[in-house]
Amino acid sequence: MGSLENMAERTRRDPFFLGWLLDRYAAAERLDDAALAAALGCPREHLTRLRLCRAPRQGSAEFRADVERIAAVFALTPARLAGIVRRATVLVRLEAANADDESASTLMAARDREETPP
Amino acid sequence: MDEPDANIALHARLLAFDPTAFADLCATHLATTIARLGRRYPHACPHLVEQSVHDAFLDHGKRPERYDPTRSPLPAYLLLVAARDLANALEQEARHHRKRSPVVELASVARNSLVDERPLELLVRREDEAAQRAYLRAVRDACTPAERVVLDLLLSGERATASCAAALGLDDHPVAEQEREVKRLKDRVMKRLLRGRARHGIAREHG
Repeated sequence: MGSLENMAERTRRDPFFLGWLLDRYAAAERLDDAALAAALGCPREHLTRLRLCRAPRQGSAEFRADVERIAAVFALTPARLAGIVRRATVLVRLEAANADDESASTLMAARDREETPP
Repeated sequence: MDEPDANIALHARLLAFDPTAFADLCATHLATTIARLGRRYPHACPHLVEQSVHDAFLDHGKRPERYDPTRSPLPAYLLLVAARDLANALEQEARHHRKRSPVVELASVARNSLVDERPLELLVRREDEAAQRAYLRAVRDACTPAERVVLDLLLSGERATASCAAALGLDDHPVAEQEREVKRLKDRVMKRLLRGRARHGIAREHG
């Protein structure tokens, strides 16, 4: 694996990067790289550099500007890229909410155990 | 666009939140920075070299405002930051090995050459070595990142001006400027070493 690919691998674990969002989306949809590239509408070889892009900012104007910029550079359809990024963002929020629920349930179960008299 | 202009434009794009700028930064400079750092530290683990460069790039991608383009070209800056990270990682590794060294020393005492050494002499020698390590660590901590690069090279036995200049990312500067900057840094490092010796009560080895 080349240095650029290794760096792209690191972005998969860093929410600062588009690579992280693409990874969440691919995992949820069970897509390999070829299928992810097809979903984005780009050649598979573009995935490395796409992953190295910064994730679009959250404000609506900035989000649109960032998505359009990435789409223009990589010859993607902005609406398709925006859809994937939004879906990934929702998935991340759901994962976070689930994690919060799980830890709350664990805490409640632990408290119940402590409160149950022997 | 020539290279300095291209680098300035790239930096401006990072500052302006262009989401594709980091990808271009990596495509343009990542492989060459890894190669240059690997040449400066030929004995360092290649994985550690790559990791240090990745860290430097990621840090720069997230905080591009910390770079001042009037002070050095972008590739030199990235190399300097990566070299500093690598030097720190190597120092940490060395510290880890030093912590383990007493076990090795005791084993060697039991087995061979030191078996005849008197306990008091052995104790004094160990205290001298510990003082030497503490002294070097203190000097290193007090150094600026650029001075630390020079100090590490001096400690590894590398004294050539060209090697120091390259490690500092100055190899594309005029030779006279390289010599001047390396000499300035070497002088500062030597002053720190001499001052540190006095502070740690370490005698000069040869007069």
